[in-house]
Amino acid sequence: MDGILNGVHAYKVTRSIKIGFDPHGIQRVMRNSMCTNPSRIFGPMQTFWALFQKELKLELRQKHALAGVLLYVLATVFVCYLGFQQIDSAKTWGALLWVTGVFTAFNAMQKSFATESSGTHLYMYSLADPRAIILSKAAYNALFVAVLNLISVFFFILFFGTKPLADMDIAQFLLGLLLGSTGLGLALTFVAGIAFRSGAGVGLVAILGFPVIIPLLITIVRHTTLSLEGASALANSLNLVVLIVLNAVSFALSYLLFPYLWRE
Amino acid sequence: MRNRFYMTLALVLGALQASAQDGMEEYFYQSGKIKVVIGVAFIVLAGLIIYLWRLDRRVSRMEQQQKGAKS
Amino acid sequence: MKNWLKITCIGLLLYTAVFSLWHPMGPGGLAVSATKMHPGRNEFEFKGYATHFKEAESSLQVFVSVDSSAAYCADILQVVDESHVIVSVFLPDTISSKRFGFAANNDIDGTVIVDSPVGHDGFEFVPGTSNALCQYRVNQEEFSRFGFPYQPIIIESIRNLMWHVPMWFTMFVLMTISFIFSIRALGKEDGRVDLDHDTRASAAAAVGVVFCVLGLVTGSLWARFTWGDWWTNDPQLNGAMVVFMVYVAYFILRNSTPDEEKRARLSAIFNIFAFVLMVVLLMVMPRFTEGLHPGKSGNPAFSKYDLDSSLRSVFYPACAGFILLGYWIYRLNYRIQKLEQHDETHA
Repeated sequence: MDGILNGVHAYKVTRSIKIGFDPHGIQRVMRNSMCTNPSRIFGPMQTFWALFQKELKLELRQKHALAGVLLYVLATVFVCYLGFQQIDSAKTWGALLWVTGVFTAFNAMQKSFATESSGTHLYMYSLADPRAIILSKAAYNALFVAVLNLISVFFFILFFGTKPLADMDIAQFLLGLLLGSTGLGLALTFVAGIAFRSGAGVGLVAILGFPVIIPLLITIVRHTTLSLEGASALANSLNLVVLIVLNAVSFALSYLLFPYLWRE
Repeated sequence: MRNRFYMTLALVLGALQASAQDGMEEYFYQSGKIKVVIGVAFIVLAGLIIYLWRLDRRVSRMEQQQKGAKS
Repeated sequence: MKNWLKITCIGLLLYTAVFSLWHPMGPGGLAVSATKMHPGRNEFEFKGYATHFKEAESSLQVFVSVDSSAAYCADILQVVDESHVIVSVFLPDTISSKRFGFAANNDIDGTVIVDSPVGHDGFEFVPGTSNALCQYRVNQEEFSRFGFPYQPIIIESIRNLMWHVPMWFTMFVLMTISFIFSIRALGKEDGRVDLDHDTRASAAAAVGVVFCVLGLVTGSLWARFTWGDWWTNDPQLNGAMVVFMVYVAYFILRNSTPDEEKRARLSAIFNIFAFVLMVVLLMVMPRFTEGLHPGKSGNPAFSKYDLDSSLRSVFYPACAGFILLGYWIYRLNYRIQKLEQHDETHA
């Protein structure tokens, strides 16, 4: 209960900063947590959860942005449909799905840091552990990309039918979808953080991000293709291992390096 | 006139390329593909020399600036 | 860089240049002129590479082998020159395997084998019948081998090993230097970023990219005449391309960040990321995926067959020489960058 309350406070505080500086909000948080050092107001898990909720609420509040991303997914899949009309091979289906997934992820990522004014940032980073910030952002982005990918799967089925999915192993496919999305979320959040800090604008996210995610993309396309062809879990286990390794590497590097990003 | 010139150029280039494809194949395959080795060694040397040339130019630029600062 | 290191570098590279090009090739079987074998008398030309058919004419034998147990000796041999011999062999009506192999054997070269598929016509195929006419000798180890090992298709271009592969080794060493300096740039006690270490990191990465490009271009040329295409779908190749792109992105990031301190910090972070990615791409992923490079899918190193002692005696010095050269150029680049920075601050 306490954790949730603190989380709500954190949300309110960041929100108040967005609207304008609100000293009472800070005082309230200070009083509640009975702590003098602002960086230790919340425990890491509570901070993480609070920031995660903040991301979610920011997303839901900006309905037009959300609609924009959804339209983007729909349009991409529709363009694929206009180009291909009909897909018979699992390979093409998987590759197209992930090409759509990557572009959607980039689209979603570019606003991940950009929606926050630098004032919010400055305040947030004096308040919370940078690790909690990157993890909450990455977790939120991973979830967001996963949901968007599920939506694009829906659109793919809508336009192309279920013919390429006849032999699909659903559990494997969904596991791959989840791992691919988390991988994209983790790696791209980190890269977006770097690009945001450099102040060079959103264009840099694509330049830095594309090479970084290619290994992940190769593996996930292979994994999805195999799972669509109904290959055994054993045959696909190697791809799964590589996916997990790439996720772990992105996670570890984000966790270790992100604090250095915010030092001035 | 200009158009015809470009068309001729394209045709000639195309023919050249087609013959170069065969010629190149033949050239590189002779005497056990030793030409491939020569090509690779040449690329390595050329690449390194081009890079060193660029380093050299940076040094020259600094020298010139130094001269300018003195006078 | 110490002078003796520079002299060692020059010595090693000279040694590499001389021996990689002048060391002779070992003998091998290049091709046979026959396209189809049939029962009765078959006449064809056996082409060797770097063989000594003429010199060892007295001991020369040519075999047509049907399987490991049955071989038929050519009874008429007409040596044209050191690498060409016209042979005639009598084959029976029944054979025990549908696969033909061709081999020549003499005192100097040992056994050289042509292992290309040759069609057949008119034979009765009876498995298990072994009616060998003469003893089939495949004892390559019996003869002291000289020269670089002969391998089909690759032939002389095995010498590229001393030019192409050291590029990647050098790149790896330079990127490691860059990686270490990036870590040290971030790891200062007072939390500030070390600008000098950042300069070193970027200087090493720049030279590393040069070697990466050289590796890609030389590899592309070699691939064209070995695998038939300028670019093939090989994990090593694709990985190298991605590494190139990542490091180009590193320099784009540097150039698009005007603030010195921030640039150093961001590029150091990205560089650490890039290096880990490179290790994953070039050392982990190729082991999991099948490719054309030797020793892949399970075994990343060169197998015994690929790298014999004659190759190794040139390959290792070549790697050491190119690594030293890379380090030398990196030092030059670093010193020039330092001077440029010095000029800028004093101008």
